[in-house]
Amino acid sequence: MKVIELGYEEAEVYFIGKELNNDMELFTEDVQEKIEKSVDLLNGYTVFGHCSAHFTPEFTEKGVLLKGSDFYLQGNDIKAHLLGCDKVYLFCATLGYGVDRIIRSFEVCDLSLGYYLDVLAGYLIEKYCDYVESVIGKAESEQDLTERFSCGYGDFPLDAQKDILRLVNAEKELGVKLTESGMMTPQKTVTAVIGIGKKAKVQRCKLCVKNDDCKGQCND
Amino acid sequence: MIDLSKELLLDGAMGSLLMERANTPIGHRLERLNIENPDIVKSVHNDYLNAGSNIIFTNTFGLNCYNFDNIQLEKLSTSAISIAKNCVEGKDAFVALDIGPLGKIIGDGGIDFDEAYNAYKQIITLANDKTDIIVIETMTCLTEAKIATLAALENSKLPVMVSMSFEENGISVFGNPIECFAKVIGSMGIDAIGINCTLGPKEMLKLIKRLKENTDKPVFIKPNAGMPTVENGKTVYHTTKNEFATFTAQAKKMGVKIVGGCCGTTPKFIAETKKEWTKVVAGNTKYRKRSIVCSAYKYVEIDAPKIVGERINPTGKKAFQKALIEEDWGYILAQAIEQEVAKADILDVNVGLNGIDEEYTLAKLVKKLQGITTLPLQIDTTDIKALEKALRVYTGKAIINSVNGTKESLDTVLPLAKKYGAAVIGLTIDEKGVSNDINERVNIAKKIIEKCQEIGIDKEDIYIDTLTMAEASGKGNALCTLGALKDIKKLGVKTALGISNISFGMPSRMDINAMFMELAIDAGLDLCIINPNLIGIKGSKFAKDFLLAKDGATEKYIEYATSQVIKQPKAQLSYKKTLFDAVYSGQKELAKSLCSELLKENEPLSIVSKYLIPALDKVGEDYQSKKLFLPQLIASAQAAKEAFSKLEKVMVNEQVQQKKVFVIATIKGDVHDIGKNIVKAVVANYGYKVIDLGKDVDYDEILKAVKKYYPCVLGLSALMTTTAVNIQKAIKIVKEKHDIPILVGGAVITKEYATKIGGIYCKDANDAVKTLKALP
Repeated sequence: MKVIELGYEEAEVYFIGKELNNDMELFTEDVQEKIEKSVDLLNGYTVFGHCSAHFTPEFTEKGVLLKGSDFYLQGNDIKAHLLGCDKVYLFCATLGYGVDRIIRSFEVCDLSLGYYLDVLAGYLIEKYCDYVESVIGKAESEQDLTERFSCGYGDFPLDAQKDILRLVNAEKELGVKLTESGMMTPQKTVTAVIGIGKKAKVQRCKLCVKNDDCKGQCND
Repeated sequence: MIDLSKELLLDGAMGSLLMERANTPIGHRLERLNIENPDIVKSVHNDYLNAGSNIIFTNTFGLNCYNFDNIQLEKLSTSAISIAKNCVEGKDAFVALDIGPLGKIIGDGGIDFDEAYNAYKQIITLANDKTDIIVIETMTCLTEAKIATLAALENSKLPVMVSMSFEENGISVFGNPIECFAKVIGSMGIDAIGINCTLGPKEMLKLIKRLKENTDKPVFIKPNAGMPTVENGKTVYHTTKNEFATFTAQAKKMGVKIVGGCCGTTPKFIAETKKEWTKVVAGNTKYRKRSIVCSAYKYVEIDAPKIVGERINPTGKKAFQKALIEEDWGYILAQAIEQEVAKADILDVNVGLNGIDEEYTLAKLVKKLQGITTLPLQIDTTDIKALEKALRVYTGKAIINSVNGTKESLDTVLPLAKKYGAAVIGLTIDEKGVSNDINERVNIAKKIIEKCQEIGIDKEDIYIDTLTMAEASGKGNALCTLGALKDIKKLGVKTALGISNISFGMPSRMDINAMFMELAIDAGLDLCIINPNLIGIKGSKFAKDFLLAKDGATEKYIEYATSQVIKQPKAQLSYKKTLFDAVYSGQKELAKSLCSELLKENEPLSIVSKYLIPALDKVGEDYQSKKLFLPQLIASAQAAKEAFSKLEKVMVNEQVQQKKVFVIATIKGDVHDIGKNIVKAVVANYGYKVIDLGKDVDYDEILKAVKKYYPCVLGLSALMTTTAVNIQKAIKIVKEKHDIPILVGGAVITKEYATKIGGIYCKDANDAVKTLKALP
């Protein structure tokens, strides 16, 4: 059984909000049909997978050292984000290679549907991350969790991606790899850092490079 | 010599023991211990040998050029082998060269086939056959497993074992089912095939049957000590050594005679397994001989007639030929998807066209097809070099189309089929040409089958084609083809036929084709090579009489066919809507129908200026003022494209060729290209011929395209900050030689950045159109 299913209605709400600026006049039968088709395809082709590892943080000059490893989380923003936490989780979540393939297929024969799939897959991976977060929450006896914080937020470098993937064993567990330029494949893959023992309060949007023309799709 | 048909115990986990004994931090490359602390490596080997292992794996899992430099590689490899060899000296045990994944993406955004092959070749050449066997293990990507296997088979004389890791459902994290692994790697001349890691022995038991039923090679397993959980930061395995031994004994009953352990196991697990094993008699799970072909993601059993889509073929198709020459992959790939949607089971791939470098083009297309379709491929070429290159890069068990009864063909094609584990279509033609005699065709088939068996190709992988000759060119042709088919079927092989040639020169060809397919299936046809759109169409009784060569049937058929009103499905035309509306609202089918209607009374160029351009301009305007959004912009562009393609068919050549050229690419390192594809779709409707170079495009390729096409504009995109810098390099390289405007765009590109690096910033597709219009 799948842990998560994408529903038509939530997909419509998301799509209308993000892509149509909540203009219901644009929500035609054609749009609805494409959303439904995308949802069916995504539910059919997604192979959810996640893996995680947790560490005790040590706050040093160089950054936050994840004890037991040789890896420092570098940058002031991640440091501030985790300050006060006594445990740090790294996780990686993915929708799998099948989703990449159907998006590519439709980009070839029906670009419009390819676009819908791409947008909704973006929503689905965020939804799956929420689920992974809830799994971590349960494992930590419902203690407070920080927001998830990913490479590229604020001054947390993109380079850290490869170390996060290595430490959670993402290649072996999920088949997630980095391209030569540091992008993750499958494309609908997220890595993030979560601190335990501190309430979520950092607004990710404020640190996001795209906050100028963001339409609030991150639900922050 | 190792005898892999005998019972053999492998070793258990290496990495975890080394980490524990050498106390290395997480992330330290354990292969370094071969020089830093050889005694520790030795101690692990010896413990496994004392526990009863007959084969120990060298400490070389991650030893490759991406983790070490050449000097280190040589030292570490030599040392690893010599440590292991010293340990087995005087014992009834062997050393295996252990090879793991490279940790690289193979394909877009990563390294290419040849680079990966060379990386593996280097590891194998360095070891110089000093071990007793080569083990390729823990592969999760079938493409990589195939490359490593090829490198081992081509650069060493040693026996080769290959294993992959699967999830509980028998599919690897890359989406490769265990059956495809068995068919692709198991057919490649290796010596044993197996499953290791990820699962415990209990979970692996379920997969053994699936593997064994699909291969006749010895099977080995190396399970983990159960499925792990993470406790207090440590990975904990829950299966005890006794449970492990019990489950592996069960595996022996299923016919697995070679077993060892992976993560979480220790020498104690191996010792306990040895104890349990002696109590059990090896059983057997039978290999089921079946005709199966597969891609990396899907296998198709030919247990009933299957449809092989024939549309990827330039013969007689102008648009396809143009697409091949211009490397318009989008057009060609769309043919694949359309056939998949029309329920083809397999896709025939043919790029034979004068002036095309078939070796290059076929391999490139095969690579691209693998990225977008899961259907198995049938490689259709007479160019032997192109055939080999395509078979090399294809991750699947392909069908070769084709070999024939001539000595030259049998001698060149069959060894390739054997080497790459492909199935083969055998045409019943030889040096004497095509015979009209059924027995002659059957005899050629027998010769082909005999040669196949001599070289080791099973009957299950042979598909005999009894040749479809146009019935109009000789009465009785169909009967000869069908008669030979019936007889050949009795030889225990499968059959194949290209259907459509039968109706050549006749009216209403679909009618005859459909009836011929029906008759051929009745006669025992397995592979119907046709346009999948034929599925579901029924032929007439007139066509049947024609094909059965009945007296006067040809005349009756022609009379019938020409009197039939050709029933074209009527498009649901809504006359209230104009072409302008259809494009504006993004209705593809409607735009196409309306365009056809308008063409009856209008010149193509006036349709463009009266309807299409105004509609697109209005879409652009409304998009800018946020009355319309991106999905609508794309849909409109697609609708306009449909209309344009209708118009281009009737436009005179000069009108088409007047187009200005726009070369577009997603830059090296970047694989996110949906934005670029949208720009391409929109810009193409504004009188530009868009040459799309694809994604992850190197500077040289961009420069080459600029030289070749003399574009008036170049467009480059990047999504990430790490790849945006590559745009800067590309601009510099191009501008040194060509003074053309370069549009740049993508998520991280800003106007300031674009200007700084010498490009013209475009926010989106609409902006690109505006910019293009404003260019001098």
